[in-house]
Amino acid sequence: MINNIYNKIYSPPKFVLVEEIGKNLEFILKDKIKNIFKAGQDLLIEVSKENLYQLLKELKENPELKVNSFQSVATYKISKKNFLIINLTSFVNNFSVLIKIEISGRELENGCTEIVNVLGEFYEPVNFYRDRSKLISENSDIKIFCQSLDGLDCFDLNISTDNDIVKEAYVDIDISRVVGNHYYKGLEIYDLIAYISRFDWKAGIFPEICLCSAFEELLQLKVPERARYIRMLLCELYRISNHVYFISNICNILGYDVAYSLSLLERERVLKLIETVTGSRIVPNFIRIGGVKKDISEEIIFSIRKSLPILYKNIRRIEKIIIDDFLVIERLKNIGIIGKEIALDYGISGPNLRASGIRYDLRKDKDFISYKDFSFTVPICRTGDCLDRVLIRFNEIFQSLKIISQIINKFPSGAFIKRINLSRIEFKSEAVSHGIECPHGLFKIYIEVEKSNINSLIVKGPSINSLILSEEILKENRLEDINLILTSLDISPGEIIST
Amino acid sequence: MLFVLKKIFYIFTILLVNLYICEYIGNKLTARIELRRGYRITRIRGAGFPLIRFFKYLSRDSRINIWTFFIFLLSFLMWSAVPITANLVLVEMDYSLLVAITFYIGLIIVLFFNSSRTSYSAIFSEASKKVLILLSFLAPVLFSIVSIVLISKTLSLKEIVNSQYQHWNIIFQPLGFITFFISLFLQLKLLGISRKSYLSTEIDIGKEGIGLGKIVEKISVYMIVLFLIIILNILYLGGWQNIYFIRGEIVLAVKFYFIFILLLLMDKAIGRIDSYKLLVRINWKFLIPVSLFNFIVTLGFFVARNVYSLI
Repeated sequence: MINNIYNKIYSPPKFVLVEEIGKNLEFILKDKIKNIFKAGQDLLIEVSKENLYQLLKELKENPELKVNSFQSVATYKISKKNFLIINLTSFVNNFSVLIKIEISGRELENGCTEIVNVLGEFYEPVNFYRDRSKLISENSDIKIFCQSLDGLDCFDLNISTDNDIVKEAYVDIDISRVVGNHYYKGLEIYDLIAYISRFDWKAGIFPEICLCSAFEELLQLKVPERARYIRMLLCELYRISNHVYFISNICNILGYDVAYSLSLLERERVLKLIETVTGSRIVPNFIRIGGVKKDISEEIIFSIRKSLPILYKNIRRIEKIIIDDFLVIERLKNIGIIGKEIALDYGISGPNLRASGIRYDLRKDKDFISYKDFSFTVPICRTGDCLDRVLIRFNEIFQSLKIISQIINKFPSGAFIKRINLSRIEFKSEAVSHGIECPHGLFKIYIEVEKSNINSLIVKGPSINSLILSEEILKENRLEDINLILTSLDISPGEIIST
Repeated sequence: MLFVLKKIFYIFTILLVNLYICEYIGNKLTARIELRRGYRITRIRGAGFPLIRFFKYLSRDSRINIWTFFIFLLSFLMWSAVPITANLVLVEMDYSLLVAITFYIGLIIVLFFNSSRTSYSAIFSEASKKVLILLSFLAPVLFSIVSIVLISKTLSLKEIVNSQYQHWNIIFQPLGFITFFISLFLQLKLLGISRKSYLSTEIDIGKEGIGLGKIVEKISVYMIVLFLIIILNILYLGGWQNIYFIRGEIVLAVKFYFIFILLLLMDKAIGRIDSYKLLVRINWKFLIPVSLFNFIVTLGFFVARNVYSLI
């Protein structure tokens, strides 16, 4: 089955200079843009509410830009001023744009209806952010409460059905909005690192790395090579752990007890390895600005090297068990299909996007940590149904194992942290956006700093996009497949709580 | 009167003891697979766990309706016509097979009504769909039973066992045995003996109807499975016939637990079949045609032998 997926051909990523795009845009929309500059990896455009329409038109319809994926909307407040930040991405041209708009307090209370209306003309998923309580109550006849969905206890699902076939589906995430935007206020940076990993408890290392990398970018700090390798090692271990957990969840829903238990055992093996490295299993609090908390000894590397072949063998066995069973294939095939265009429109990322046939991975497409040192492929599938989403995760596990074996063989010597005194640091007034490839997709953090204060910190996980998309793909599916389709999207509840 | 009460007590005790052992074996297998841990007796593979679970269910709020009472009544009344051993039967009659099967169908229909006590329409539709599919699985079972009745020319379960003193019916009716066994396994899959999904959707697993009603439902599921295994033993595997010097009761117990454990292992090794299209396909494209073919062949032999005296 794996050989069917063509993972041998790989075109090099499109190299894009964000500054150049910024200059071009500034030239085209001279008076309509307040300010435009590069913030970390992304292009930040400050614009007034009136000129938003023309900017969006230019971004979407200009053939050189093609910014056709909507990512997220978030609001924040800095000294009595309210701001709205819109995140848009072009997967084809490999860059993303942040649009910053100043709004009044009254508009914020009304849910920024004008801006959402303008956005809605260009991007369909924005309708999710409208006030839909009336629409939901009128159109839905069955309400599935959050506690009923296995492992996805962060949203209610309203559906209308016709003879067991879902006609309309509405996701209601009101119960998840428990975290205010000021959770970071009054926290020290080290406390924040410990806190941030709770946003993604399925793979806790990624938010930490994202936050620390953003600060390193602000400080223009170069991390030692050994620390980078340790980070990559942990990234891949957590990726395997997350994917194996995903497979166990799928098996649980399919009622496949044997594969369920076997995959949980493998997850336990990976978590034990993580525990030997970090001292903790789920939320490690291991990454520091400038490096990592502690060094890895030779014994740990030896134990990882010893368990790699066992992991490979056992996961292959689980894959064989699942693929050989025609009942499982019958159940997973042609369910919850995500087409290429719809995947791009809704801005999903990670394995879900790759299962639809679009090869996009930050590890290859952007200079993320030091992944350029290793040889690995980014697997893709074609149809984008539930079976493809399972198979692609198996392939990614094998690629991760390949990367880990290369990391262990090339492990460099040297310092594991560049120590800096954070107590007297003063930043310039700056904004930075940093994204990483976490197991669910594109995890982003946007920070604005001024002197020693963090003015704003916005966390954007990939799961919210998958959740918005689920409204579309649940249609014309059977009632009994709802849980399976939602689980196959690998939604992490913590990320939805943060939005 | 005292004699009847004594019999009822014996039957009740045997059923409860077997229920406890079956639940214990099921838990043990689950624990073995899931690598559960806990206190020695109360942990999932401990001997006291079924009792602990019973109290756990009992401690919750319960909503009992009239159907719960009927389920409880029917799941034990079902055994009134089934002889557990040669002498241990409550009511002896010539058409005990017919009565037993009628009670069994009645129990499934009552389970259907019971599913309406939920306030969630999704769960009701799911549960009712499951019960209707259960009823459709009765068609191959009934075809197989009629074939056996044609062979042994009786409706009494006792006489069916006695007619197998030379050869078990499995030799004459291998196709019937296979269809009966597969339909039994699929019914067990639908009812969910070891999984948490019991007659409710996977959307609302185990959260609906905790309390006394749930215990009664669980008992009824076990009763259906035990009943079908006993009927399978009686019809095809010689019931309580002695094997050389080994007593019939022991032989029956061994056969019963062998089939039960086999079913449990199959339950673990095969994923839940919730795709109703697939279930209907298995039933209408495999089980019913095969059992119908078996029935027609048996009928042909019956007519040729008894009407025209050809064989």
